[in-house]
Parts: sequence; structure tokens; C-alpha cells
Amino acid sequence: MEDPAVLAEFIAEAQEHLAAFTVGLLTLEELPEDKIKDSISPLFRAMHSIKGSAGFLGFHSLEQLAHCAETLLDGMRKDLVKKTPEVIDLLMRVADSLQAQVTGLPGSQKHESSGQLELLNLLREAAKGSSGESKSALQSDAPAATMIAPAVIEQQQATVPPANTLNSTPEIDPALLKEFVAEAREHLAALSDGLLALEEADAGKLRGNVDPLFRATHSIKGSAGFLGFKGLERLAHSAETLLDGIRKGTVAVSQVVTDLLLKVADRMQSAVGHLPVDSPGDHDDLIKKIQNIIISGRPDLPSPAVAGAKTTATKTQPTVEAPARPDTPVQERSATLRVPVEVIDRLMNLASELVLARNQALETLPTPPDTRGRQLMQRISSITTDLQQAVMLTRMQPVGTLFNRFPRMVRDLARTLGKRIHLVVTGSEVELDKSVLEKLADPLNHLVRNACDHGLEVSGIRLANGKTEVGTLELIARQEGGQILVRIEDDGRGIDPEKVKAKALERGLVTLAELEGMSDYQSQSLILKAGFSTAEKVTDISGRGVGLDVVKTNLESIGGTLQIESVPGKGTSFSLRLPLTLAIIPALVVRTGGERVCLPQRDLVELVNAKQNPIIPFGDRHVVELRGQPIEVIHLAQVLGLEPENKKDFKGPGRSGFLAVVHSGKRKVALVVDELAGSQEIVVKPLHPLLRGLGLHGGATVLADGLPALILDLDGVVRAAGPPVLIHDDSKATAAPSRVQVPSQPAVIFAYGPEELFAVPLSLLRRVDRIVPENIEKIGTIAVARLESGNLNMFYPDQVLSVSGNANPGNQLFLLTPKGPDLGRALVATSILDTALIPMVLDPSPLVDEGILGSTRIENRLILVINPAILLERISLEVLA
Amino acid sequence: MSTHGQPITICTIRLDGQIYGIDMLAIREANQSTPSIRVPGSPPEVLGLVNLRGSIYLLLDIRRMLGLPEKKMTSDDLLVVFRPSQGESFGILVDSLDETMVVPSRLVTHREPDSSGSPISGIILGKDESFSMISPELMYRRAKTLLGNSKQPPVQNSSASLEKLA
Repeated sequence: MEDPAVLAEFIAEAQEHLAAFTVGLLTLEELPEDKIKDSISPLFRAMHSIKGSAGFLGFHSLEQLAHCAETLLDGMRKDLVKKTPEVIDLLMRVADSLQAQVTGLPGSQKHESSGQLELLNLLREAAKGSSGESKSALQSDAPAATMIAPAVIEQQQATVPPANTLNSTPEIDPALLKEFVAEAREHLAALSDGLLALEEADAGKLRGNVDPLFRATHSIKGSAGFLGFKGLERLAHSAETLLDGIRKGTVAVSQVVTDLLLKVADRMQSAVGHLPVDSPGDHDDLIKKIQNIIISGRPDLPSPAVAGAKTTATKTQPTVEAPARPDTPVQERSATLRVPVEVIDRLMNLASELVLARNQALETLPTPPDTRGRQLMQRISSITTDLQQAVMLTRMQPVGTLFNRFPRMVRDLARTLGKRIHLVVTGSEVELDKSVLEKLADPLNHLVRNACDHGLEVSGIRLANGKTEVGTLELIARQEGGQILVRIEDDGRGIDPEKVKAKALERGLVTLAELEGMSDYQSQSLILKAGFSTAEKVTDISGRGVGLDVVKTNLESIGGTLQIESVPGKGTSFSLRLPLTLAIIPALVVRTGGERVCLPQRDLVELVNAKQNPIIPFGDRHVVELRGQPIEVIHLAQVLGLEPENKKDFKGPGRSGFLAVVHSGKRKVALVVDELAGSQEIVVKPLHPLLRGLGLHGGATVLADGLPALILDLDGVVRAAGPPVLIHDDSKATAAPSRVQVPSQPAVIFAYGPEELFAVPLSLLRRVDRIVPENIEKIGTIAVARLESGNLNMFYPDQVLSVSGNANPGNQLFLLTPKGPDLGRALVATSILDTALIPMVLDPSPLVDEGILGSTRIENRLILVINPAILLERISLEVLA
Repeated sequence: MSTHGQPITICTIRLDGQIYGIDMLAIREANQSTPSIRVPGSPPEVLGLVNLRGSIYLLLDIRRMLGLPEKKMTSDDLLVVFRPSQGESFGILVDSLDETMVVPSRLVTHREPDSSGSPISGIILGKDESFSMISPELMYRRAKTLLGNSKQPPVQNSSASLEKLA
């Protein structure tokens, strides 16, 4: 049967066409009668493509259905069929049926279901149009074309009179035949696409568009003739002649002409599918029509000018401003490439490995002694970074792929709920990493359903409250800084803080004391707690009240946040903020029980020195007291099986370790670790499938020294430690940690420009020099500092970060040279303030960018903590690229 | 693996001086071993994880599965990595890789499959020497069984959210 790869390709393409079809149909539904023409063309094309490919592969049932739909659409295009809700519904049903059949391939094509027959009848009836008589050129062919299986017989019977009827089935080598069929299919595909584009082309661009069509037909003619398929040859020859006439201007392009050519292309497709059965007179009917046109030089029916948005109106075209066409079929084809996901994943892996290898190379290889060698290292390094980033981009997909199911969903929901809802989607082209998209699907689904079900009111209530009859639901996606914002906004009834507070109280999720002094915003956010629901009854649309807290945790698992804003009576908006990429995360590397493991920075709350915080036995477990709150202690080494269990006595001061306080779901626990081995940005690699069952690890990575390391799955570890010993009350807010408790590192605090303050951990800094303007030379766009120790290229933070520039370029400056290979680069500071202790674990930075480790505050001033080596590398890419 | 009647190509390896044979088609590569790490919480049959050119492979302890005495890992060990058909990205450490030989099928006797979990899949009776055949696939299956019944307290399918990130 069919090659499975070809089948898979067909299924994928058909589904794309169906998705586009559905979206287009919904748009069409909303348009007024006189503006529908341009919106029908894409729908027509979609059906045409499906029909064509289905025909190739012998999927007759699909082909029929698509053909009838195509006919109906054609009728609409020509104003022969009115756009009514029934017609739209019918087309929806067609789309559904096609979808069902496509997913059921390769079965389901042998027999026509009765459902299909009913649909086909309805389509044919509708295509007859309001005049009751079908004028559509395609329609006239319907009887022969719509029943494909008997078509062969019919054709042969119909063509008995003309030409010799010897059923010449040439003896042919099957391999040769296969090759011809494959080639012919390619040509026909190009032909079909080209014809559709032709319809809409400028008169001026005609020639360029016709040549490929001519060539395609010519090739088919040649090969068919060579193999002795006379019928096909003759048809192709006629078509070629016609196209030549168009090329030379002796035949005017019109809708009738392109219709005929499309029919010819269809017929050729069908003929190719029936090879090696072929006889010379097979296609005489079409050949005659073609000849008529060629002879008369004009189509034999009065025709409007070329249908399309670009030609100026002729007398027959109603004056309609064409809505802007967002795409043209010719451009669509060449701008994208279909690549299997596995190939992309492999690219990603290779890029990540290259990054790791590059990191290791920078650490272990000696600095090249000469400039050329250094430049080479630099170049390799920067290309690696670029490659990694570019590959990350391949995984980016437009959020539209998620959004495009919602118009249909909202429409159906609105119907079911008896509400009127208008969906506006903005920012479908915004791109997200594939894995983020996958995780976003469920939360989005949930929130949209919620908005329809609970947020928006029925028309009656809306009108009574002075609102518009139709409720609006907006889905917005846009980029904000280093994050993607996805917002679901409705103009419904909003969230009533009082009602929420009452419900939360009733459900025991808060105490009266906590409610006191809660802002409206905080009250509304109570709906995110587990066990909450203001719905009076559980509907199967949005289910039980567990929804929103699951949405929140799902989001957080991909590093996203959820925020609610609502004005009672006016509407609600849910804002989801997501990181742009996932696969590289900052992590803290720790030693425990003699092994190294990674803790994702995201789950880390703070680091606590075990010496300074007493650890108290609690039954057979331990807790640590942190600012008056007890936090359960988990002996990581024991849970991981690295040390014998039930070692009751806690480590004495001689073996003091740190406690890493981490999130696990809603709990905080303190993990005993022996040593902190630094923080690194690690590439998350999937955990070996055999190890997943252990439930302790969430992935693996290779650290900068080349050794693999496991990444802890904190939830799993916490679970493995046993049931919680403390009853958790996470509504008690804990104050921000005071500096004293937290392990810290020395850093240099400096300023650049009038506004921002920065800090560089001393561990990352090699040297600080002072430079006066006299010793600065400019070479092109680069400033070079002449120091006793050598020359340094000077790079400025504002070359790569969104910070203010240096207002006073004439004064002295300071140069910070990072640790690492000597690449002759330094970061410029306008003044050095101090050295100070900053925490090891930093706050998130308001400026999210590569090279910014985080932020901290000293005397309430915000300080951006940076890694100078990374910044310098980035800047040098910009400047030296 | 080998079709009945066809000769098979065997690679012989040594463990504590003993020769074992492995179907060459099952082997992806043999390489100098690199430092490995233990997998906390795993049964002893899991030797650890190793980084080979950026990919992380699971090491299974063939010695333990064969009942041989434990041996400390050294840098002289050879890492033999198997093809994915035998089991996902895993390998073993051996003392050395000896030779490759083509063995006519009549000299190969396969063992009846049983549930003992032994990685021995058969025996080759040669004129001068005889040795056992190790099946990587059997090893993998054994590891799977062991890791399915790990001694950790029962955990639900862990959320393992990180794994899905990569």
C-alpha cells in the first residue's frame, strides 16, 4: 500500500488545511454578505488541496467530500449560493467529517458511510444555489467526478464514440511506471498551486507565473508520450497549448479559463491515479473545451476580469474594498520547511553539547599566546553561542498554533451556554518554545472555558447592566522583556472580592484575621487556592473548583506566573507570564553524602548556615527554626540512600553543613547538604528512562568539569522522605530573610552612568584598573585602553544591556577584567563605590538578560549583579561581528 | 540478532581474565572509560552514569549480574556501549576487548529463556575454547525489573517536571 511516510505527510498536510479551513470558515461566518468573496478563496484552496492529494493517494471518500465542498464554495464565490447559517454549518460538518476520516486513515476509504452520502447530498443541494439551477462550471462536471470508483467505467463508456476505443493498456515496467507517477504527481502539485496563484496574480506578473505551469504540463506530456499513455499525453498537450497562448497573450486569463485549467489538472491527477489504464479518447471532453478557448482567444462565456484583490475594478466587479490579504500562496510555500521533531531535538542536543564543550575548553585549555590564536578561540566561542541561540529559535513556534482552536471552541461553548461571545485573538505570531507551548495548552483551555462559563454573562443580564449584548473575550500574546505575556481578558461580571472572601472563609482556606487588611487584589487571588469554587454547581464545562490552583502550579512548573486582575461588574483578566526558553536553567550544585547533585535555582528559597540555626529533634525527625518558624529538615544523604537510614544524631559542628531551604509544592523543607559547590547554568538533559522509577531525579546534566550530575526532583525527594511532620499553614507570610543569615560573597560595587549600580562577585573578577582619557585610543568603533600591563579593548555595559549610558565621557574610568582566559577585554565602570558582601543567592533581576546573575539591595538601592565575562563576550559579538 | 543458520560475528571481552562473547551487532562502540558518578537511590546493579562526548549513558554492573566479585573502577576499564535496540543508551565496563571472530551457527547453543535474570544467553563451543555469550538485552531487562521494584518508599509517578523541559 502507500509508503507510510507519504501517508504521514498527507495526514499532516490535510490537518493543516483543515485547521486553516475551520478558522477561515469562522471568519467567513461573521462577514457581511457582500464582503465574503476574498475570504472564500483560501477555503476553496484548502478543499482543493485536500481533494487533490486525496485523489493521488486513492482516498476516494475524502476526495469526493472535498470535491463537493469545493463546488459549494465555488458557488458561493460566484454569488450563486448565498452564505446562510445552514451553509456554514454544513461546511463545518464537512470539516469535521474530513477530520475524522483523515485521522482514521488508511482505513475508512473503502466504503462510503451513510453519513457521508447524506452530507454529499446536502452539499449538492446547497450548491444548486438560490437560482435552483447550477451555473458553476465545476458543478457541471460533478456527476462524473463525484463518484470516483465508477468514474473509470463512466469515462470509458462516455468516450466510446470519438477516437479509437482500443483499451490500450501498455505493457510497462512497474518501476518505470512508479517513477513516472511520482514525477507526474510532483508536476501536478506544482501545476495546481501555480494555477491558484495565477487567478490572483497581477497582469504584469503573468508571464512569470505561467512559465512554470507550462513547463510542468510539458514534462507530463513528454513522459506520458514516452510511456505510451496517449490519453494523458493528449490532454497535457492541449493544456500546454492553452498555457502557451496565455503566455503569449493570445488567450486572456479569466476565471473561466483558470477553472478549466484546474479541471484539467484534476483530471490529470485522477488519470495518473488510474494508470496504466489509459486510452487516447479518455479526455476528449476537456480537450474540446480547451480548443474552443484557444480558437476564440477569449473564453466562450462573458467573463469578469481576473478575480483578485489587485486588479482595479471592472464593470462586473462589485466595488468592494478587499480586506488586506495576509498571505499569498506562492510565498507561503517557500518560506517554511517541514522538519521532523526528532531532527530538531538532535540539533538542540548537539548545540547544547557544543556549549558545554566550549565551556570546558575555555576552562582547561591554556590561553593561546598569540593574537590570532586568541581571536580564533573567541570566534569559536561566539559562533557557539550564536549557534545555540539559533537552534533554540527552531523550537520556537507561534502561539497561534494553540490559539487557533479557540475560535471554534468559544463558538461552540457560546452556543451551548446560550451566550453571545465575541473572541478577539491578538499576537498569534508571538513565538514560544515548543515545550512551553505544550504546557500552556491545558491552562489556557481551562481559563478560556472559565471565562465563557463563569465570567461572561448571558445577553439578558448584560443588557440589564448597561453592557453590550455580545460579550468580548480577548486572547492576547506579546513579548515583554525576557518573558512572554499571555492574557485572557473578558468584559464579564468580574470577581467580587467579598464573595470570594466569604467563600474562602466558608471553606476554611483562610481565617478572619488574615482577611483583615487584605486588599481587593489579594482577595481576588484567593480563588487560586486549592479547594475553591464559587460556581454553584459543578458543570462539566469547567469542572470543579480545583481548576485554578492546578493551573497555577502547572504554570510554575515551567517557570511561569499567574496574576489576576478584576473589577467587579466590568471584567477580569488573567495574565500568564512565561520564560522564553527552558532547557538551560540556573542551578545550585551541592555535595551530600560524597556525591554532587544539582538543585534548580527556581526551587531554592534560601541557604541557611546550620551552625547559626538550631536544629531541633522532633519525634524521629528534625526541624530547624528559621525566624521563628519551624521548617522540616530532610537529610538528603539519607533519602538518597547515600548514608544509612535512621542516623538519629545530627551532624555536630565538626561536620556542619548548609541547609538548603526549598519549595516543594506548598511546603518548605530544609535539605541538609554538606557543601556548596557553586552555581552554574546547566543544560537539562532527560533522565535515563530506567531511572525514572526511582522518583528522585528530574534530569541529568554535564557540569563544567565534564562529569555528569543528577538534577534532583525535589517533589520526589520530599515524598521519599516520608509524610510531613508539620501541619502547614502557608498563609503565614515569612518576612524577607535578613542579610546576616544568608551566606554571602564579596563583590565589587560600581556605577556605570548616572543611574544604575552594579556588582561583580570577586570570584569572577581578576583585576580593576583606573584609566584616564589620555590613555584611551579609538580604533574604529572600539576604544582601547593603554595600560602598563598591555592594551585592553574597552566595552561598555550599555552596549548590550538596557541601562543608561555614560553621561560624562571625559572623566576617568575604571576597567574590570574578568577571570578566565586573557582575551584582552575589560568592562568599563564610571566609578567604583565599594566592596561589600552580597548574598550567594540573589533576587531575580528586573532586567532579565544573559550575563545578569540577579539583583540585590544594599541600603535599599537596587544593585544588578553581573558576570563580566559573559557580558564581555556578548558585547564583543555585537561589536566585532 | 543472528538468523538461524547464519554465522554470527562475536566480540570477546574479558572480565577477571574470563572470556565472554557479545554479538558484534549489538555493540555500538567501545571506548576508553571516563569518570562516572553513582546514581543515589539506585540498586547496586546500576553502576552509575558516564559522560561520553556530551551524552549521558547508564552503566550497568555486568560483574554483579554475572556473580563476579566486585572490582573498583579504574581508568583502564573499557566502556562498551550498546545499540538502542538492546536498550536505551546504556553500557558496561569491561577489562578489555579481545578479538572479533566469526562463529558458525552450529557452534552456538542458545539458552532457554528463564526468569533467573542472568545475562547469559548461550554458549559457544569451539575447538580450542568455549565461552558464554552475554546478551545486553537480557541485562537491560534485568535492570528494568530491578528498578521497577526499587527499595525506595513507594512513590507515585513523580512529577519529574524537569525531565520534560529538555
